[in-house]
Amino acid sequence: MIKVTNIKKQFQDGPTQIEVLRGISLVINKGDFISIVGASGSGKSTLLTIIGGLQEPSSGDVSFSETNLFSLSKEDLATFRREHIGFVFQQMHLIPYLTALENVLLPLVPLKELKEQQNEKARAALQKVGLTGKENRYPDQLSGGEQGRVALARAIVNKPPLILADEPTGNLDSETGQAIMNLFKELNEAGQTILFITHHKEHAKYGNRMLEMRDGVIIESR
Amino acid sequence: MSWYQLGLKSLLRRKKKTFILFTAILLAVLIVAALTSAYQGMMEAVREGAMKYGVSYRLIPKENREPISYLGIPIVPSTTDSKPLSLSYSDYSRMKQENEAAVVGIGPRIVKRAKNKQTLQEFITVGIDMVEERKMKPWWRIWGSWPTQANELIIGYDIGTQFQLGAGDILTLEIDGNEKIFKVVGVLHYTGHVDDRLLFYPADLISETEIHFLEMVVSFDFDNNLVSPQGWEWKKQRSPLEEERFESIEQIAELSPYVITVTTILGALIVLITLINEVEERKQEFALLQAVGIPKKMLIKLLFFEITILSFCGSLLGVFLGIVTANVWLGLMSGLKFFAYITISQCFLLICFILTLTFVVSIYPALRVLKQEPITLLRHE
Amino acid sequence: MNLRSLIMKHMWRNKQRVAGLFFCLVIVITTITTLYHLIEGMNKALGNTFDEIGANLLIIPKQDELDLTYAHLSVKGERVSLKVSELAKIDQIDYRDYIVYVSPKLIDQVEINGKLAGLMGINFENEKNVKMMIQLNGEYPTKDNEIMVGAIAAADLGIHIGDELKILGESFRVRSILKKQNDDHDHFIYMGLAKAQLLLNRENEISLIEVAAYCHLCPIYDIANQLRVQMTNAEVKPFMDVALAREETLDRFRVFFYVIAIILLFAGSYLLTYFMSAYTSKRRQEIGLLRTIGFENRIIEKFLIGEALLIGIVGGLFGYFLGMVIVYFSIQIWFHESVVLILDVQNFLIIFGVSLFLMVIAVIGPLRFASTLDPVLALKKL
Repeated sequence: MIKVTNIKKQFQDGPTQIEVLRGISLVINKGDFISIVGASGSGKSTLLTIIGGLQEPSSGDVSFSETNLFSLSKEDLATFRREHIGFVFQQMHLIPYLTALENVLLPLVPLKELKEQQNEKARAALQKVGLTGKENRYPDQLSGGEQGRVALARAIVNKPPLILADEPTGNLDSETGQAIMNLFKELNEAGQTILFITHHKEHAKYGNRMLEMRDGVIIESR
Repeated sequence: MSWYQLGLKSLLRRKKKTFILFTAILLAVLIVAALTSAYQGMMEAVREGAMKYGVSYRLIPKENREPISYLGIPIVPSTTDSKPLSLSYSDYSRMKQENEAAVVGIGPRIVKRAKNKQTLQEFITVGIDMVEERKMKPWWRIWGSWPTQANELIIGYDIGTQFQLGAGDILTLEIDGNEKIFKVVGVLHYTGHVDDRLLFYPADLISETEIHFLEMVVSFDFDNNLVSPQGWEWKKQRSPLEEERFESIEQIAELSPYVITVTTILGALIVLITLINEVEERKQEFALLQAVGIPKKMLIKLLFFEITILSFCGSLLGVFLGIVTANVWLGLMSGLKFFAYITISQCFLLICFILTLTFVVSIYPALRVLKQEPITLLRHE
Repeated sequence: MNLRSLIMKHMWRNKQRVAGLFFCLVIVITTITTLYHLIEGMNKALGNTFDEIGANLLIIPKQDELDLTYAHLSVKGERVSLKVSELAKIDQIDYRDYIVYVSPKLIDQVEINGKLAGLMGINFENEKNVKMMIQLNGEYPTKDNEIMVGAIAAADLGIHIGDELKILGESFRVRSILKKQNDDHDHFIYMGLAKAQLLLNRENEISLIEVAAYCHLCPIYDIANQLRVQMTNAEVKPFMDVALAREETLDRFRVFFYVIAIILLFAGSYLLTYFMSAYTSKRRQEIGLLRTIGFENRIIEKFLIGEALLIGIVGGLFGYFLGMVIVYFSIQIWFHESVVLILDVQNFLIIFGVSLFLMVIAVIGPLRFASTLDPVLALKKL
C-alpha cells in the first residue's frame, strides 16, 4: 500500500555533489515489519525521512495508498504525517518539561478532542508499552528503556498505519534494546506496519523483511 | 491537552529559561519606564522650579516719579520732592486677599530714611513682612538668624562689609525724627541686587500708617488680571529667569523623542537577542512538535502565547521597578529634591507599547521557527 | 600557530556569532555616544541660552560710602569707578574659558533738552548676544555718533527714531528705541562705551562690569571667588536669584544624565554578558577539547579575554564614530541650536574605556564557565 518509486536524493556540499540515494524503489504492504541495515552514510536515514515526508526527494515519488505525499502542501503534509505516520527517534526526543503522559499527549494537541478522550488514548498507549503507573514521571526520572517506551507510545497514540523508527535501540543496552524490539514485534503482530533502521544484526532479524543498503541503493532484500 | 495548556506548562516547568526571558523583558521595560519617568520627573522639577521663582510685580502709583537708577546705583535724582503716595494696611490685606489664588508671595514695603545717631551715616530701611518676603525670594540666605521682632534688623551684605556690622550689633537709628534702637540679628548673603545695600526689619504692619509699595510674585502660568486700588497699578518686573526658564524647558523637551527612541531600541534589542537565543535553544523541541504533527500555525500561536504572558507580567513588574529605580536614583542624587513620576495612563500606554514591541520583536524568531523543518531533529548534533 | 592566530581563526570561523556580539556592542556604544553627546551638548546649549538672557555676575567697585537709590529715596555718597585695565584681569582667572561675555558699563547723568537723563556707555558689539538688548525698533547702532534709547526715556524726552540729539554739545542720531523691558534699562540712553567715556570726560573709567559665566561642572561661586582674588578693589557678586535658578535647572538635568548613563551601562552590560554567555556555552565542546589536549586554564582565559578585548576595541571605535555621525546629523536635522556639537578627545577615551569595560564585564561569566568546565563531560556531547 506504500509505494516508493525510483527515489533519488542529492546534496550539495560546497562544490561537490553528494548522491545519497540513487534510485530506490520499494513496496511496503500492510502488516510489514521491515528492518533496514547498512553502514553509516549508506542513506538509510534519508530514505526513512523521505518515506515519512519529512524531506522531499530530488526525484521520485512516495505514494501512500492513493495519496502522493509530495503533491501535498506543507500544511497538508503535516496533517497527513500526524494521521498516518508515527516516528521513533534514536534520541527519543522527549520534551524534558513534560511528564510521560503529556509527552504521549503531544500528537493529540492539534485535535479538537475532549480532555478525557485524549487522556484515555494516551493512557491506553502507555499501557500498551507497559508503562502503567509511570504516567506522571518526567523523562529524567525514567530509565533509557522506559524513555524508549514513552517515545513508542507517543508514536502509536494516534494509531497511525505506519511507524518509522530510526535506530530505536541505538542508545540502549542490549537487554533493554531487546525489550523494545519485543514491543515492536507485539505491535506488529497486532497488525501494525513498522519500518525501522538498526545497526544490530540481531535486532534486524525481528523483521519479516530485511533491506540492506550500501551507497544509496538497496543491495539485498530478504 | 490543548495548545495553551502546553504553553503554560512550558512556561511553568522550564523555570530557568522562563526566568531569563522574563528578566530580559523586565529589564527592557525597566529601562523604558525608568528613563521616561526620570525624564518626566526632571521636566516637572524644572517646571516646578520655574513656579517657585515666578514673575515679580510691583504695586506702585500710576504717576510714578522715582529717581533713575541702575541696580540701585543712583543716576538721576527724583524730579519731584512731593511726598509719595502710600497705601494703608487695609489696602494691603485687601490686595493680599483678592490676588490670593495667583500669588507665590505678596509683601509690603515701608521705605524710610534712617540716620545712625553715632556716625551720622544715612541708610534706607525697609519694613517688610518677613514670611512673605522669604516666599518671594527663595534665594535669600542669612548669616545669623531671621528677625522676628520689629526692633530686629537684617542688613544687606554691602552694609555689613562697608560699615563692619554683623549679628549682635546694636544700632540707634533716627527715623522720621524718632529715635529707635535696633539689634542686628543677621546679615543677608549677597544677592547682587539692591537688597545688598538695604536694612530690613519685620514691620509691625498694623501700626504702620503708610506702605509705600507692594511687591508680589505670581506663578508663571498666571494670566488673569491683577486687582489694584485706584490710582495704583501692578507693574511687571523684568526677570531674566522667566525667559530663561521657558527656553530651557523647551530645549529639554526637544530631547524627549530621542530618549524614547533610544531606550526603545535598546529595550527591543535586549528582548530580541534573548528571544532569538531562547528560540534557538528550543529548535529541537519545536522540530519534535512538528514531527509529531503539530502544525506550524499552532507552534506560532504557542510561541506568541508564551511571549505575551511573559511580556504582560514583565511589563507590570518592569514599570513598577523602573519607577522605583528611577526614584531611588534621582532621590539619592538630587538629595531628595526631585522624583520620577509616571501617570496611570502612561503606565497603560507603556504596557501596551511593550506588548506591541515584544510582539513585533518575536516576529523574527517566529519566522525562524516557521522556516525550520522537522528534519532538523534527525540531524544528529 | 600561536594564541593570536588561534583567536583570529576562531573568530573568522564563527563569523555569525562574532558579528552578533560586535553588533550588540556597537549598538550599545553608539547609544551611549549619541546620548552622552546630545545631553552634554544640550547642557552646553542651555548654558548658551542663559548667556543670551543676561549676566549672572556683577563686578562693582568697592565703595567706602553708601550710594544708593531705592524706591523714592536716595542716599548720596562719593562714587568710585573701576579702571578699564581691570577688564584684563578677568582673563587671568583659571576658569576664564567659562566666561562667555563681559559687559563693562559706564553710567552717568546728562542733560538733554533741559531734562536730566541717564546715560549708559556700553559695548554694542558685546551686547548683541544678549537677547534683551536687540529687542528694539530701528537698527542696532554701529557708529560712534549713533545712540539707542530705552522706552521710558524716549517717551519722557519725546525722542523718535532718526532724531538728532545734542548731548554735552555733541550731536547724536537715534538709531533705535528699545522695547519696554520693565526694568532699569527703560530709563537710559545708550551709546558706545568709548564715546561715552570721551564725552563724559571719564576716559579709562567704568561704573560696573556685568559678566555671564557658564560652567556646568563648577559652581558660579568658584568663578566669583577667582575674580575676587584678581580684582582686589572690586566687589564680585553673583546674581543669586539667577545663579540659583540656573544651578537648579542644570542640576536636575545633570542628575537625569547620570540616571541615563547608569541605566545605559547596566543595560549594555546585561546585553553583552547574556550574549557572551550564550556564545560560550555553544563552545563548550571546543573549550573542552582545548582542555583535553593540554591547554591550561590560564591560556584559555587569555584566549577568551583576548577575543573579548579585540571585539571591544573594534566595536568601541566603530560605535563611537557611528554615534558621532548620528549626533552630527541629528543636530543638523533636528536640534539645530539647542545642542552644541562637542568633539573632545577625553569623551572619546571615556567611551572607548566604557566599551572595553563592558566587554571585560561580559567575559567574566564565560571565564568562570570555562574554568569549571569538565572536559570529559563537554566532549561527551560532541
